[in-house]
Formats: sequence, structure tokens, C-alpha cells
Amino acid sequence: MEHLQTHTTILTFFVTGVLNEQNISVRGGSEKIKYFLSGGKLHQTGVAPTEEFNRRSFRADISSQLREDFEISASGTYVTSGGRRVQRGSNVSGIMLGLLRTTPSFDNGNGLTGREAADTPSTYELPDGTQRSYRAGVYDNPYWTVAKNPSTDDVKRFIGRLSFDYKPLDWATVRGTLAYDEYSDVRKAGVDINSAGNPQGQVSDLSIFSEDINTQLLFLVDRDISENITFSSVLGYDGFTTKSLTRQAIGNNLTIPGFFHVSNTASQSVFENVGRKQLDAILADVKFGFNDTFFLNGAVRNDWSSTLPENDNDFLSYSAGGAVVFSEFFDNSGFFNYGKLRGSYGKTGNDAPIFATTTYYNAAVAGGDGFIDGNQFPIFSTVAFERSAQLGNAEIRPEVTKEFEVGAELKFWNSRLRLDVTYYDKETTDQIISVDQPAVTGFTSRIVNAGVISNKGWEVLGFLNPVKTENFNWNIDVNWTTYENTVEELTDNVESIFLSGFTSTSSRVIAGEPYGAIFGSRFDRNENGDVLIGDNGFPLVDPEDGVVGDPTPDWTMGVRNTFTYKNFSVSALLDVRQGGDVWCGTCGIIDYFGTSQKTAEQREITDFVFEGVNANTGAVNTTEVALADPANGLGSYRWVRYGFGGVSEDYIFDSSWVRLREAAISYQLPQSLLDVTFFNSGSITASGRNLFLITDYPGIDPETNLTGSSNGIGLDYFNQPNTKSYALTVKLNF
Amino acid sequence: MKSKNIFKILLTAIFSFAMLISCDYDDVNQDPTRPGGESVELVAIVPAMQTQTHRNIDAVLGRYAGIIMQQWQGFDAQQLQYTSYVIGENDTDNPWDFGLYTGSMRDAADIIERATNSGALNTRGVAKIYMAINLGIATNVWGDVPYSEAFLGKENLSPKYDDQEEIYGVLQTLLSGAIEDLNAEDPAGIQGDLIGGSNDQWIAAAHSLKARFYMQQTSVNSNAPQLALDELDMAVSSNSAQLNFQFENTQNGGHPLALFGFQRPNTMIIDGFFSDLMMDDPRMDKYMFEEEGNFFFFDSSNPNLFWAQLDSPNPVISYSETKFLEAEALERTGGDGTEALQAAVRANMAYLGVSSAAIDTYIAGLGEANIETIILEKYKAMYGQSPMQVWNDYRRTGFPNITPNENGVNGNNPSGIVPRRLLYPISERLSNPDEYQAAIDAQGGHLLDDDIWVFPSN
Repeated sequence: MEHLQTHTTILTFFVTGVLNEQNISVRGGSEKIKYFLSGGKLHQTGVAPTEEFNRRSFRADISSQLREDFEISASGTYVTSGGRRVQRGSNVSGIMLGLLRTTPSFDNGNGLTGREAADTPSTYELPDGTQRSYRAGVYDNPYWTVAKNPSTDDVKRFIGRLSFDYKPLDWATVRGTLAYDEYSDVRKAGVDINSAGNPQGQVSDLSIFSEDINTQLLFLVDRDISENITFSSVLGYDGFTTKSLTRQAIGNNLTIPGFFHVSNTASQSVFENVGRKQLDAILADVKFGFNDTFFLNGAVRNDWSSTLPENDNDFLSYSAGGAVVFSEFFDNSGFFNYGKLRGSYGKTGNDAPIFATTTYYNAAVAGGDGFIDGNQFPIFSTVAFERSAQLGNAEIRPEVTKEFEVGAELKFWNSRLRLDVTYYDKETTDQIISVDQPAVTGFTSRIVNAGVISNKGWEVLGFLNPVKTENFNWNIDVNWTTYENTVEELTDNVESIFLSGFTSTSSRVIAGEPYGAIFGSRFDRNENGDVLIGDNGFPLVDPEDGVVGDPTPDWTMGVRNTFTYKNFSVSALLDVRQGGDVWCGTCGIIDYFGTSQKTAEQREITDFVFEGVNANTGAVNTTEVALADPANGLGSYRWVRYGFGGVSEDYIFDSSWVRLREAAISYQLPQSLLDVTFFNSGSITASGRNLFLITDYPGIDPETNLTGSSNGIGLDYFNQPNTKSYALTVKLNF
Repeated sequence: MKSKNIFKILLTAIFSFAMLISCDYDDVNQDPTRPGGESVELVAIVPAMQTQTHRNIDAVLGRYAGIIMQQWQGFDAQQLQYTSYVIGENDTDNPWDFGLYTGSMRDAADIIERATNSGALNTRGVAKIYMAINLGIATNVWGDVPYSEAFLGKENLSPKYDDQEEIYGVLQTLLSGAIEDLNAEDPAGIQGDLIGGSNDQWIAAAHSLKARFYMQQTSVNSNAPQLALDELDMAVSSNSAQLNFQFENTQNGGHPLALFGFQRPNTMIIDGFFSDLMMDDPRMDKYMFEEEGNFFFFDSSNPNLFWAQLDSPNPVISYSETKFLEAEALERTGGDGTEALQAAVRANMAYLGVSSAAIDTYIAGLGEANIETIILEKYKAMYGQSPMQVWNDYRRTGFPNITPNENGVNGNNPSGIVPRRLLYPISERLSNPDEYQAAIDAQGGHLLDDDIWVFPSN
């Protein structure tokens, strides 16, 4: 956070969240009927004032042995959850924008901090009802956001499962399963009058309904062919359907402040979206084992998908593998006690996104301006439609991934030292992507089978148990991974595909570059790579953007140490990431606004010489420049002259880190103590997450990503920091 | 025996499932919330084309033009960088992609094709007018732009850029075609028109637009003023005959300048050059108000600001502009443009609601017309209704004589002059690279200080 250190307002804004959770469960039954019942309750307050989350869950599992060879079971889980959320996004109401784009000398809290500030209207509201904020309403005061822009969600989810197992023979089973997963998510978001993004106020009612049904009928065989040969197989049908319905009503222009109901809005727009898909498959799988030494397996599956063109809607997947436990060939009672080599090759298919085979018409929206909302029809009491910007493709083919994998599993010292190494090489061809096409064709994208993407990598798992005595035990678990995800080629006329980010800096798919490469503006250079400097002493920017960073880490590693002494155990998980670029978009913007520590420290510099060569003469640059001389105007400042957010290349940083992801100390209640109660066992655990982070990255925690865990990576733009948490857990069983 | 039977039954069960699979998926993969193209009528596409076009005139490209021409200036955030000409290949993506080519021009091309198939000639005429307005904006900003090979979907994935001189020919052809179509017998009449103009009004607007496009060529075609005058005989002839697109008093249907005022408050204000120029002008209160030494173009509770209301209009082409074109054309053909200039100013002021006494006083002080007076008066009158025309006039006449921004030197604008064009968008560089490069080579560059053919700097 060194870049942000003057921003004590950040630290005083966030508060300590508290989570309370109680769970209770009962398990029991007879020989023929078994049951499990549980219930849980959770209440959490968030790290932003007013943020709150509740969850209640109920679960019942029951199974019955109707006959010797016939068992049925049913289970159901119901969860209701929701709470009050805060604006995290990249918009003028986002709390991180409000916090960081405010000069450090303006106190958003008006003398108060945290929840108290959010609960006191004079913090964020002026007597005339307008907003008290720095920058005259361009961005919301974050206290205003949490107090006046409430956002709530209410999720109800039911997950159910019915199944039967019929065993006509002791080696054959018929299994039928019906799994059902349904949820509704009802959200309301209000923007009060005088908010920055919408001074007239807004209400959004969003309801999402989703239903997934999975049906399976499997025939399982598990029969040893001879004493030395084992055999098992599965033959069956697997079906999946999914349906979703999204309805949204957005009302604008409130009359009564703070009353967030559509009836209180002067104009409305409504949206309805449907998603649906059906997938059916038949599958077969066989496994053989010889002498517990050689293993062979093969699987084949054919899928039919509703998302593919009707006349060519199926695809075949298969895989074959083998393994040999080579330690069976020699005496394995010594230091090296187990060794296994394995290898497999497989091909899997994948279907297309829904509704991708047709070019549709959408309710018209007049857009084309990144700064203001579109004019969304119906308006003017008129209906209008326009052709979708995405061209459908009635000839889409399933995508194909071929994967080759080899690995070894080695155990030493009575398995106190274990090593599992895997190498994989995956190649996806005919990848189904929405590729950009020039807007001058009347469409900006089309769905195609495009390009080849490869992914190769190593995964190493290690385990060591260096000390093992009657009372004391020490385990070390290590996992280490590295991978290279490369875009080998794309289709004709497609140089790059946008994954996520902004028009200025984005994560993209570019032929010959790592998947998700960071793309943005950069300094102009000559053939030798020297930065070109203008006569005014400032570096010139290349009018063309290019690749400025690779977000893929060199490697990542996790190390967990666990110590147990009698009833106590202590464990700690250390996470390490080496390499991987992250774009600190936040840094660029707060430098532009002059609210960063860096600009505070460097603004007095008047004799800075940029490294590079003069663009006209080619001579090494010696021109001294003032980084921020008011006499030359604001536009001359080093952090302003390159525009809003500066040059992308300037804000690409290595994100290597070491963090204590998790640490816990736990105490198992002794039997002597439990004997006097009706509990069978119990434990007390104190734990913490994200307790420390060591990194040279100047922004907030580089693990955060702008677009969550989606494809685009390496972007930090007013992301909210990770949280540090502590927990005390008491577990009692009876 | 038993096991064999079971196996048989199971296989039958599994394969009968497989049979079920071959059932009809087609319905599942049809989106029930969106129509396919066959069921969409012309009447439903015309409003989309009109709204997007009138938005284009005063949205982001209009703001760039107005900022470059010092009617507005950045006050915070991104608008500040635009004021010092940091307008790069990323900043033109949105209007090119979704404002024009896969926006209003897509709609116009779609309507022209459908109307041709169905014989809806009057509607096709209106679509040609809108195609010309948008293609005009595109070529004003970027010079050579795709047209002859555009809008063909996957039939042509890399449309070439047409030479700007050819584009100016296309603009006239489109408008002549529009006039012919609007004169043709068509029982269905003009379908879906949100403005509700008569065929005659649309024909007059097409003549005004023809004159506008001829006058844009004054630097490269000596016949341009005479060609314009020939059109002006049949052009828009009064404020009441002028076609205005009316935005509505809702955020959804609001005018782009008001939306910018609401949604990006205090990031763009009136430039000092323009506020100084408008001192004592009876239109000043219609354009701006003062607060603490700064002049603002927007305030949610100020009903006087003519162009910054949610329900402000946007003209197809105004009667006032038509008269300005006439005044200049007359001056350039040896005639006297004074009367036309006075009519132009009067029409503009009357349209804005200035009292006739104030208009008379102002006009009495105008004096004899010359090119500089005409363009300067036009600069004042065109505020808010079509910022692009103000920039066009500057690039071909040098009026008004504005001083380039003092920090206007950057990688996109090495010489630091008042921009002559904008960069082609990055989307074209990445998805239409060969034609993009060919267009840049043909024009000798595409940076802000590179001229386009129609507006040579000397």
C-alpha cells in the first residue's frame, strides 16, 4: 500500500467485520433407515459500514434399504441468504473511487470515522440536501454511498437429490439419480437523489431465477475376472438441462428522497432475459487392474447439445490411460517404499454458448458514448429494434481439447516423504470465441471456431513428516505449480480478442502471446529499445498501443506446516507467487489527480532527466524538466500530460508476493473433561487469514482482480483490498 | 441367465434414452426474448436509426469537436486531457463502433436493404438522408472511411476505406436518391418517423444537406459555392419548416448534452474563449450561466439552457444553418451575403426564443457580411446544435482564430496545432489491419495534426 499511504481516510473508512456462526446437526437411524439433519445460522457485518450478510440453512438426508438389493435415498438443502451490499465497482459511486480520488486533506468523514460517520448524515450531506464531497459531486463521498445507495439481495436456494441403487447381483448395480438445483436471487439497488452517477436518483429491481436438473441412469459392474485381474465398468446416460430467467426494472428520477420503489420513479425501463440449454450424453468407462501392479482404463462419451447447429449437434470425447506400480518389481521395504508411473491421453469436446447460431434483433439502444447511458427503447412511447452487434453462426462446431499427461508418485521412508509430480500438455483447437470484427461490417463481433491455445505445466505435490513421536508430529505439505498458457494462433483477420478491462488497458488474447496478456499504451522507442524523448524533455507516447505485461506468474507455491503436540495443533499456510505482472490502474489515476504519495514527494523536482534519446537528434537526452511546475499549467505535469490514468506501461508492476494465508492453533478437549459432560468430543480453534503480505507491488493486494475470477487477469483498478480475518471456532459433538 | 436379461433391459433403457436425445433441440436454442430478423418491421427500425443519429451529433464526437473549438473545456477527469488534445486511438472506438458503423449506419443500411426489397421507397428516402448525415460525420472526423464495402457482415470482413473525394460523391448520390425516393409513389408513406416530417420537409432537408456537403468542399472544389446555391433554392425555408428531433424529459430518452451534465457533473464547462465571445450576446443565458468565475453549460434546475434540457431538440439541419450556407456561398460567388447572414442570425435567435427587439438590436450591429463575420456568427449560432459543423468551418476557413492549447503537444499531436482530424480507432487497427494501414498510408498519416483531403491547411 506504499503508493496509497497518505490515504489514512481509507483506513478510517473500513471497519472490523464480525462473523457469528452456529451449526447443529443430528445423525442417526436404524439398520434400514438412516438420517442426517442439520441447521445453521450465520450473521456477518462487513468491512464497509452498513455492510451486512445473513444466512440460514437447513438440510435433511434420508436413505432407506427397502429390500436387500434395493436402496433409495433423498436429500434436500434449503438455504436463504442475503444482506446489504456496497458499491465496489468501477463507477462514480464505487467506494474505492470515492476514497482514493479525494485529496488526503479533505476528510470524507467530516471528523468521524467508520460506522459512526456513516450513521451521521452531516458527514456526507449538506444542509440543503446536496452531497458533501470533494470534487463537487464528480465522485460520491464513500459514506454517502454506503448510507444513501443501499443495495440488498435475497437468495433462496433449494438443492435436492433423489436416487436409487438396485443391486440385482453382487457385482452389478443400477443407479438412477435425479438432482435438482434451483435458486431465486432478488436484488434491489437504490441510488438516492444527489448521488454523483445519477443526481435524479434511481431504483433497480432485479430478479434472477435459475433451475438446473441433472438426470443419470448408470449401470455399474465391479467384478474381478480372476484372482489377479480386477475389472469395473460404467455404462449409462447423463442428462443436463438448465434454465434461467432474469427480469429487471430500472426506474429513474425519484420524487421522495430515499424511497426506493418503482412507483416513486418518473420513467422506467424493463428487461427480460432467458437462458436455456439441454445436454444429453451416453457414456462408457472401463478399468482393469493386474496384480495390483498394472492398471488400464478407457472412457468414451458422446454428447448432444442444444447449443450446436441441429444437423451437427453431437461430439465425442474419449480418454485412455495406464499406470504401473514399479515398486512391485523390487523389495520395497527399504527407504524407497512405493513408486508409480502414470500416463494418459484424452480428447474432450465442448459445446457453444447458448443462442449463438442465430443473429437476433434487440430492443434498440442508442449508445456509442462511454460517458453517458444509452437511450434505451421503448422510449418516446415507441418501440424500436435493431440488429444485434453480434453475428450468429449457424456453422459452429464443437471445440476440441486434447490433453496428454504423465506423472509419478513416489514414497520414501515409510511414506513419510512423498512426492507427486505431474506434467501436462493441453491443446485446445476450434476454440469457440466471440471474436472482434471491424464495426464497418455492421457487426462488432461474431462467434467462430478460432485458433489454437496451448497450456503446458507442471504440478508438484510434496509431503514430509520430519518428526513423528508419540506426542509430537510435524507435517510439511508443499504444492508448486508452473504453467504456460499460450495463444498459438487466431483466425484470419483477428489480431486480438478483448477479455476484460478498459479501452485504455485490457487483458487480451493475442496470437503468440500468453493468454490474458496486458495490452495498453506505451512509450515510443527506437529500434534499440531506447525511449524517444521530445524536445521538451518528456518521453513520447507511441500512438499505437501494444502488449505491456504478462500476468502469468513464473510459479506459485503453497507451504503448510502442521505441528501437533498432544491435544494441541498449530498450522500455518504460506503462499508464494513469483512473477506475473499486474496493472495498477489505481496508481495511474491517483497520480493523475495528485492524491498519491508519489506525487506529493516528487512534485518539487525541477531537474528530472528522463532516460532515453531525443526523438529528433538521436542524442542521449539531457534536458532537465520540472515534474510539476504550476507556471507551465496543469497539463504540463508529468502525471497529467499523458492523459487520464497515464501511460499503461508506467503502471505495470511485478506482483511477486509472500503471504501468510492462514494460521491456526487448535485444542482438542481432553476425554477427562468431556466425561463429565454429555459431549463425545470437542475442540477450540483460533485462526487467522491473510495475516501478512510481503510484496513490492505498490497498490493494494495484487491478488485482487478487477473482474473477479473471470478470464481477464492482472488488472487492478480501484479494487477493494483483501481482508484480514481472525476466527474463534468451538466444535462440540454428542 | 438372470444377469443376461438384466443387461438386455438396461441396454434397451439406455438406448431408448439415446433415442429421446435425437428429439428437436431447435426450440431450446431460440432466444424467446429477442425476435429474429424476419419478424421486425421497418416501422420498428427507423426510430433506432433516428435516435442514434441525433445522439451522435451531440454525444462524444460532438463534445470532442466542441472542446477542440473551445466552446467547451475540460474541468475534471478525462475531459481535461481532451482539452490538451490527448485524444488517442482508444478514444474514438465507441463512436466509430457503436455510434456510427454498428449503430445508426447499420440501421440505415438495414432499412435501405429491407425497403428496397419491399418497395417502401419513401422510408428508404429518409434512411438515405440519415446515412448521408452519419457518413458525413465520419468523413469529417476521419477523412477516408469505409462505405462501398461496408455493412456486408461476414461477406466482407475487411472493408476497404474509400477515398474521401469519392465519399463526397457518395453523399450527393445518397441525397439525390433520397429526394427521388421521397418524390416516388409509396402508399405506405414514411414509416416509423419519430419527427413526423412531411415528404416535402424531408426533401427540403436533403437539399440543405447537399448544400452543407458542397460548402465543406470550398477548399478543394471551386464550383462548390455555386453547386450549393443551386440546392439552396429548394432547401429548408423557415424555422417552422425545419425538422427537429425531440428528445424527451426522461433519463432514458434524454438529450446527450443533458445526460452528460447529469451523469458526468462538472467535468466539462464552457471555455473562456466562448464565454468572452458571448458576453452581451442575447443568447448567452440560453447557452451558459456563471458561478464563481466559471461558466457552466448545464444545471438540472435551469430551464433557460436551451441545449442542455433532457427534452432539448436536435435539428436534422436548421433553417439558420441553411441561411449561413447561403450567405457564405453568395460571398464566394461575388454576391452579397449580408441579407442571408441577417436571416441566419435572426432564425437562430428566434428559434432559441430571443425577443425580436433584442434580435433587431443585435442585427443592426452586424454590418456588411464577409467570410470571417459569417463563420464567426455561425460559430455562435451552431453552439449545441451541431458542434461538428463548427470544427468543419474552422478547418476550411481558419475562423474563428483560436489559439491552440498551450499543452497541446503529445504523441498524437506532435506539432501541437488545433487538431485537423482524429485517429482511426484501435478496433480498426486490430480487426481490419490491412485496410487501416492502407488508408493511413494513402493520407500520409492519421495523427491529429495530419490534414484530411477536404480540409487542407493551406
